[in-house]
Amino acid sequence: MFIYSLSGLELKDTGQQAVEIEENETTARSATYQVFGRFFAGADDEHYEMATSDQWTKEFATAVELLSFDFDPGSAPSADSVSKDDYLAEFARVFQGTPAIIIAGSHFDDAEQNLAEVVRFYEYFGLQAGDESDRPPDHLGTECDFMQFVTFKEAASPSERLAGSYRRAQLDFHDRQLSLWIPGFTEKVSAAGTLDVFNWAAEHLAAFVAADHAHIREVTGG
Amino acid sequence: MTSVLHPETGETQQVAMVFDLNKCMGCQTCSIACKVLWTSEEGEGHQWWMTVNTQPGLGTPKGWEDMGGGLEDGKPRPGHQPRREEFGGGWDFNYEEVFYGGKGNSTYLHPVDKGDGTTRWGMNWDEDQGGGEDPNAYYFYLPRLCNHCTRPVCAEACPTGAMYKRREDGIVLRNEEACKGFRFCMEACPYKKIYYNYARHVAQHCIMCFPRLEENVAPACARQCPGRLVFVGMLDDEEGPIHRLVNEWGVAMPLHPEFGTGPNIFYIPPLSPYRLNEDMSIDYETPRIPPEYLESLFGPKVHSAIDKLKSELETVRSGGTSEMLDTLIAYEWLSLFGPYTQDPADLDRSPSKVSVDISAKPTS
Amino acid sequence: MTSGAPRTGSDNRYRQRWAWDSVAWGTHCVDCYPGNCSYRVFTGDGTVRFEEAAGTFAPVEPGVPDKNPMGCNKGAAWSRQLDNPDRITTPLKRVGPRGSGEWEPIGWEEALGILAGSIIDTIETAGPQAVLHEGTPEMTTVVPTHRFMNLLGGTITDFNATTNDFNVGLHITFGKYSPVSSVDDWFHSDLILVWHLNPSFTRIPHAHFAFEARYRGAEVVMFAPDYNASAMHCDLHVPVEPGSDAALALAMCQVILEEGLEDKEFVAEQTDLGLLVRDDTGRFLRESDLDPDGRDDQFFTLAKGIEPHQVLNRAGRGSLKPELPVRLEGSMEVTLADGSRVDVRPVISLLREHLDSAYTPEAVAGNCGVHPDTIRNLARKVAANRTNVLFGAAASKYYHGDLIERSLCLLLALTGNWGKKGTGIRSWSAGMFDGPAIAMAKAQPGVEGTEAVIMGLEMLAAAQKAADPTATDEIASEGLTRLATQMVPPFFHWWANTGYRERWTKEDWHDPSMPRPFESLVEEALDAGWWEGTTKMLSSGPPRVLIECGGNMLRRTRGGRSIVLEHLWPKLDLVAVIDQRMSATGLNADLILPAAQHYEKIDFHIPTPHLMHLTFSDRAQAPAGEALTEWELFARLAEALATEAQRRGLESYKDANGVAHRYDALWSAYTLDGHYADEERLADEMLRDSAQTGALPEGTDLSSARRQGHIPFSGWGILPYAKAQASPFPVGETHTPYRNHVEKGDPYPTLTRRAQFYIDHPWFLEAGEALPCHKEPPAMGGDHPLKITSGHCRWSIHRMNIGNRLLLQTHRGTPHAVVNPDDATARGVSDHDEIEVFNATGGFVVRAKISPSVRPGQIIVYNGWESYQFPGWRGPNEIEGGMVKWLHLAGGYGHLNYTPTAWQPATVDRATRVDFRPAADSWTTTTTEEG
Repeated sequence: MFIYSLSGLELKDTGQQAVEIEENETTARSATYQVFGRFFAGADDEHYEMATSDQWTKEFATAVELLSFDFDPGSAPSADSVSKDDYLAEFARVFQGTPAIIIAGSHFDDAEQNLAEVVRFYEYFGLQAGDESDRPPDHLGTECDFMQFVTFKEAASPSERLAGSYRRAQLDFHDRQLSLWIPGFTEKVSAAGTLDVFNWAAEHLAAFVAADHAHIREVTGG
Repeated sequence: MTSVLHPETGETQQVAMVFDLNKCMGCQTCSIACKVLWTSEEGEGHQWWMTVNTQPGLGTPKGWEDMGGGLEDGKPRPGHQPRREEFGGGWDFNYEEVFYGGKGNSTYLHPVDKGDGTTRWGMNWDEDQGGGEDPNAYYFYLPRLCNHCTRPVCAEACPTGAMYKRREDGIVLRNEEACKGFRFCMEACPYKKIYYNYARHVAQHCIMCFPRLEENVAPACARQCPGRLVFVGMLDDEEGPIHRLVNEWGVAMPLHPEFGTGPNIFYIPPLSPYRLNEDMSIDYETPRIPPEYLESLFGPKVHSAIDKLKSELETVRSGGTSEMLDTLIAYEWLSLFGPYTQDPADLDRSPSKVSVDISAKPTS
Repeated sequence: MTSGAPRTGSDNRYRQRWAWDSVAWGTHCVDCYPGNCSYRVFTGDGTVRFEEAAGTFAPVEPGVPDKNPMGCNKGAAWSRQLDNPDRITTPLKRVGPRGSGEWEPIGWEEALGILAGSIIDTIETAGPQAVLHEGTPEMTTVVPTHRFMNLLGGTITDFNATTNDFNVGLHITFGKYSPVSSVDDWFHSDLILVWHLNPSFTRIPHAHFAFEARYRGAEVVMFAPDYNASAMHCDLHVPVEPGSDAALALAMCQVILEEGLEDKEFVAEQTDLGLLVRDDTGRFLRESDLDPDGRDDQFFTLAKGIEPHQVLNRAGRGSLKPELPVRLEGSMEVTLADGSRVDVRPVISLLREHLDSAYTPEAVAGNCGVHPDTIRNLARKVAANRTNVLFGAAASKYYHGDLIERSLCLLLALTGNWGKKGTGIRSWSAGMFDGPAIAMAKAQPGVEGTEAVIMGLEMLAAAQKAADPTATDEIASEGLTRLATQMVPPFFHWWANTGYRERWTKEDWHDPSMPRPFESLVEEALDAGWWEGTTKMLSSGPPRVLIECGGNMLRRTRGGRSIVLEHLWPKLDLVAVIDQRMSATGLNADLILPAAQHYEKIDFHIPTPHLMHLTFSDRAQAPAGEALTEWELFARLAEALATEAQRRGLESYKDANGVAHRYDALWSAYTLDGHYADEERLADEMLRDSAQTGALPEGTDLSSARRQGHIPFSGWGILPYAKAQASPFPVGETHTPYRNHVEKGDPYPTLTRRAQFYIDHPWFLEAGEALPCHKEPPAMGGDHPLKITSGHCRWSIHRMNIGNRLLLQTHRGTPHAVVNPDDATARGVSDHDEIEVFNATGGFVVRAKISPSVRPGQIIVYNGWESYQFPGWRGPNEIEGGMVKWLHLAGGYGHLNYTPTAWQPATVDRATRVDFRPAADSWTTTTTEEG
C-alpha cells in the first residue's frame, strides 16, 4: 500500500482524507519523487545517517521497484569520510549558496514570474505551499513533492478523465519546470566539486526526470 | 534647378507605397497610428501627417488641391501657405466644465471656440459627404501622407538647407535644428502635407517612420492598416508588388501627377457600384464615380487602370486566375511590406539604446 | 542599419519617441463584437506609451488570407483613454443636486461604506431584489457583477434585451440565433449580400475578407437606403426604403419559386416547408390530432406512394433525413381522431400562394423602391451562387425586424444557402471560453472542482437525453442556458417602473394588426404563464439601489434619458456608477467609483467562433489613481457589507426566493474562500478550466496566455452557444456553422425540429405572421415625414472612446445628424447648423451634416454619443419611443419561451418618425433639470 507524504506542501482542502492505494507503476513514480523530495528538502542528522548507512540506496530501490520504465538508482556513495557537521555544511554550501542553488527561480530569467507560475500549478491541483520560510514554493524538494502528489492523484483518480488531467499536469510541470532547469542544476552540482553522494543524487535526479518526462510524454501523446 | 538628390552616387533607392483604394474603409486607423507615435506633443495637436479624406471633398487643409505649389513646366509654381484655420482641428474640449463645473446640463461637451476659426474645420471635416445626387451619391476614401517626392520642391524652396532626401531610401527629412520656421516648404508643397509647430517654431511632416524602417519595421500607418491595403517597399525592386502594380500592370498611379514633383505614393483607383437609372433600374454600363472626376485626381492613365481592374475581375469571376488580384488580396499580410517585416515587439528599444551617435560620420 | 543614416539631433528626437522598455499583450475588453484584436502594448517606466496591432495570427486555411493585423482606429487610440480628461481616477460623491456636476472626491472606505449602507437599508426594508444591476455585455464586468449580484440575491436584467442585440427572426427560424461562421469563411462566398451591416464602420478589423473575396471572384451587393462606407466597395448598391427589406427578400423568394430555382432537397429536409398544415385551423397537423394519446409535437409530411396514393409520413424528430422522400406538392384529406375529415397541405403550398398574392417583384417595387428587374436578377444570382448574408444586429432594432430576418432566412433556405462554406447569415456568439462559467460554478477550487462541474453538466445532459431520446447534444444542453444565469427580462421592470407603459399603450405606434390593447396582451401573456419565474420585477416593488457597471442606462435606454430620470430616478435611494470614465449615467449618479482601464487589468475578450481564438489582455500598467479592477471592487464591497452589517448588529436575510444569505459570508463566497482574491490566480483557473473541457489546448494556463497573447481554441467546450454552432470543430479550415444539420441531418432546436418558417402559435396566426411577410414600420413617434435609421459609428465602440480627444478630432468633434440636401434646403438648414430633431416623444439639438449619400426622407444620427455631448444633455434616444413588438410577449410554444439573451420583448428604435427644423436659440441655454 502506498500513501503520499508531503513536506513542503499542504493540502488546500484540509477535510480531504489521504487514502491508501494499491502500489503500481504510477505509485512507483510517486514514491521515487517522494524519496528525491526528501533528499533535496534539506540535510539534517537523519539525512547524514542515511548517507553513512545504505539507507538511501534501500529507499530508492524500494521506490523504483514497480516502475514501468528503466531507471536504476544504483548505490548511493557513502558519506562516512566526512563528519556530520561537515556534511551539513557542505549541503548548505552547494545547495543553498551559489554553486548549485536548489531554488528553481534562480535558474530562470524571471524568478518572480516563475514562482507565480509554480504556485498557480500547486493551487490548481489542490495544494498550497507550506509556511516554512526556508522552503520557498519553487524549492526542488517542494517541486518533487508536487510531482509526488499529482502522480499519486493520477493513480487514485476515480475517473479516467481526472487521471488524464493529473497526467497532463505532470507533463506540463516537466515541460515548464523540471526539464528546463534540472539538467543545468545537475551540471552545476558536478562543477561544485562536492561530495559523491550529492553528485550521485543530482545525476540520478536528472536521469529520472528525463526518463519520467519521456514516459509521460509517451502516455499522454504530448 | 537645385538637386537635393545624392550627386555622389547619381542614383538612389526609393521607398514607395501603394494604397489600394478598393480596400480602404476610411477608418483612420493609419491616421491614429501615426498621430499616437509622432505628433502627440505640444505644438503638434493639429498635425496629422497621415490623413484619410472623403473624395470629392475639400479635404485637409481645406481646399488644398487649389492652393498651388509644385512645378509647372519644370519651374516652381507659386503656392499658398495654408493657414492654421484651414487645417482646423487641434481642439481643446470643455471636459472640466461639463463634468465638474457645477453647471449641470446648461453646458455640454464641445470643442472650445478660441475665436481663431479652428473649430470650423478639421482633418476629416467633410467625412462621408461626397458628391452626386440621390440615388447616385458617391464618394471614396483617399489616404494621404507626404509623397517623399523624387523632386522634393519643399527642400528646394528651403532657404536654410534644413531639408534633404535620404540617400539609402529616398525619404525626405528635415533637420529641425537647422529649420528656422520660414515655412517656404509649406508654400512649395503642392500636396500641403507640411505642418507648422507653433510651440517649437519648426515645420514638420511625415518622416516615413524612419526609426522603424531602420529596424526593418514597416511604417505605422501601413502596419496597422486593418484593411491590409498599404504596400511598402523599394520602387525599383522588380520582383516586388509595388514595381509590378505601378510599372508592369499600370494599375497604381500617383495623385495629381501634373503637380510635377514625382510622388512616390501610388494609388489603385477606386471602382464603384453601378449607377441607377431614373426608374431605379441599374445602369450596368456606368460606374457611380464619374471617370472624369478620377481623371482630375490621377490623370488620364486612370481609365486604362480601371479597365484593367475590371477585366481582371471578369477573369476571376469566370473561373480564371489573376496574379494581379492575388497580389492585391495579400494572402499573407507580411507580403505587403517588402523588406520591412520585422515584428517591433521583438526589438530591444530601451530608451537608452535607440539614439545614434550624431557626431559620427555616416558610413556608406 | 546605420549606413548613411542622417546625423541630426532632431532625428534622434524621433528615435526616442519610438522606444520602450517592456511589452505586454493587450486587447480591448468592451462589447466590441466580434473584436478580439490582439495588441502589443508598449510601456516605458511602467507607463503605457502606445500600442500596435500584434499581427501574429497564423494562417488558418491554405488559400484563405490570414487575419492580420486586426485592429482599428479605436484600438490604436486606446492608450489615449488612459489619461483622457473623461477618465475617473478617484471615488466621487455627489454634493449638489443630481446632475449638477458638483462632486467631492472621497476615499474608498467612505465610498464603499455609503454603497454598503444603502444596500443594507434596501435589503432590510425591501429585500435584496430591489438592488438592481442593468446587465451589460462587457466581459470585464459580467463576471464580477453577476457573481456579486447572484450571491447578494439582487436583480440583473437580461443584457440582450436592454441592448436588443439579438436576432429575433433567426431565433424564430432556427430556435437559436448564435451560429456564426468565422470571418475568414466570408472569403469562400461567391455572392455576398451586405444587409443591415456597414462593415467598414462596424467590422473594421474583419471587413477585408469580404473585399478580398471580391478580388477572388465574389460579387458583393449592398442593400441599404444610404450610400455608405461599405457601399463603395460593392458591385451593386441597392437602395431600399428603410424597413422594407422583408418585401424585397420575399419578392426574391417569389421569383425563385416561380422560376423553379429552389433547392428542393434542401427545402424538404432542412425546413418545415414540407410539413402539413390543416386547412380548417391553419395549424400544423399534429399526432395528437389523429390520436388522443399522440404527441403534440409530432408533425407530418406527404410522401409519394404508388400513384395516385399519397402517404402521411411522420417527420422525424431525431433526424432530418426522411425515411420516405418528402413530397412538396399536393394535398391530402385526413381523418382526425374525432372522425372528422380535414384537408392538409404542405407549408410550401401556403407559401406559394402567399408570395404570389402579394410579393411579385412588381407588387413590392412600390414598397421597397427596388426595380423589378433588379429583384429578378438578384434572385437568380442567389439561387445560382454560394451566398452569404453579411448581417448585423440592426434589423432586429426595427419593429418588424423579426419579419425582415425570417424573410432573409427563407431566401437562404430556398436556395440551400447554409451549412456549407461561404454561406449563411450571421448574428453573434459568445461560446467556447468555458473558464469563467466553470470557475464561478465551482464549489472548490482546482481541478477536482472543475471535474465536479463538468460531471454535473454531463449528468444534466444525460437526463435530458433520457427524457427525450431524440435530443442531440445541442438540444440536451439547452437547459443550461437557463441554469447558468439569474438574469430576468427587463420588460417587466420597464413596464412597472420606468414610464414605458404610457408609450407602449399608444395603439397608433404599434402595428395595426395588434388585435387587442397592449395592456390586455400583457395580461394574457402573464395569465397564460408564459413568463412564469421571470416577473419578479412586477411584484417586488421598485428598485432602490442601482449599480451601473459597464453599462450606461441614461445614454442607451431607448425612450430617452428624460423618461428614466423622470420615472425611475426618484424611486432610487442611491445610484452608484462604476466606470473608467465619466458617462451620462455617471453625471446623474450619487456615487462614482473608478474602475481600472483595460490596460490596467487582466482580462479576455468575448470568445467567438467568428475568430476562433481567445484573446488575452495583460496588466501593462498599474491602475491610474485610486482606480480598482471591478473584480477587486466588488470583493471590497462584500467586505464593506459585512462591516456595516456588524456595526448594525445584522447577521442574515432572505432573498425573494426564500434563500438565506449571511452578510459575513459574502466575501468568502465571492472569492471562493479567498482563492479568487488574487486575480492572476482567477485568470489562471479560468484558462486551466477551459483546457479541462478541451476548449483550449491542453496545458493552457496564464503563462501560455502571457507568451502567446491569443490562443486558438481547440474544441467547442461545454457552453450552449458553442454547441449551437452544430458543426464539427474546424481544424485547419474556416468555420461554417449548421454543418451537422445539413450533412448529418441533426434536428434543429425548434418546435418542429426544422428550420421553421411557419409559426402556428395562435398569436402569430392572429397577427397574420404565421409565414414571413412584410409590414410597414409603424408610425412610432407620430406622423412625421422622416425616418431615422442610424447605426453604429466608426469613432467609438458604443460610448467607449466617444470622448477620446484624439478620435474626436477625426470628425467634427460634436455629434451630427446626416440629412439629404433636399430635406435641409426645404427647412432652411445649412451644413453644420444646429437643428432640432423632434417628434411626439421629445427632441434633441444636433449639428446638421448635409450629404446626398443619405436619401430624402432618411436621417442618420450614429449611435454612441453621450447625452452630455448635446445641449441640455438630450441625445437621440429622446425621440425613440422604445416600443416593443407585442407579438414578442408570446410564449408557451416550443422554442418560443423565455430564453436568456434570446426570446423576450425588447425595445426598438429604427425607422422612428421624426422631423427637424433650425434650432431655436433657447435650446442651447436650457437650465439644469431635477433628477
